[in-house]
Amino acid sequence: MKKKAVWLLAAVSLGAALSGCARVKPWEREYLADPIMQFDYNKEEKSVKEHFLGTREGSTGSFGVSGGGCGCN
Amino acid sequence: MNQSAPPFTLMDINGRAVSLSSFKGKVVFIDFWASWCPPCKVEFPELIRLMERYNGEDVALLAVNVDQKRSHAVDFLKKFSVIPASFHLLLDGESQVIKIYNASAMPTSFILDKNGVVRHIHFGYRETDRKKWIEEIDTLLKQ
Repeated sequence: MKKKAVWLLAAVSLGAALSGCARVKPWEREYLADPIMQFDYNKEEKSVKEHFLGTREGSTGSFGVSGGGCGCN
Repeated sequence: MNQSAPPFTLMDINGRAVSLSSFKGKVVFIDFWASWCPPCKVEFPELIRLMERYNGEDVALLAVNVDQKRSHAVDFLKKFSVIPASFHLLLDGESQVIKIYNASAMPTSFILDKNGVVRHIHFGYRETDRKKWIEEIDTLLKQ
């Protein structure tokens, strides 16, 4: 009985995992190819965000070196 | 490959119906492209140059656009002031024809002989493709 339950659970898990996958055809990638799908599609906005974050944190980190303060310049 | 190309009829960018069957007796270059596809953007001017080379010869190019919105294709085409007469811009916004041809890359090109048989297929675009296209079209024109 316990063995059956394990198999059933495995089958259900596999089914759930496979149903989450879909092969996207090359001509269906219009939305995926949109620049907005990139993490840093707006380079200027990214730069400003990193500047403010670095300044507020007042530390040197992965964004490079920055001084503390208001982040105005 | 080496089979008759599936027949189709699509609207061109000016709203006229264009059928593949009407190009029988010509070498036909079918190119599936989209304005959102970077290699297609690089390839497009080369296709225009290719058709300029074969101006007046029995060669036709069917550039099948698969953008979902016609306006995206129209905006992209504004960059090109002169498009040769043998260069036909067709719209397949619902991806019906590209599905039948099962293009496995963007862009994908099919070169058909004068009898409508697929003789060459190119997946994607590389700078060296232009030379291959010319060799293949020249060979098919002589047959």
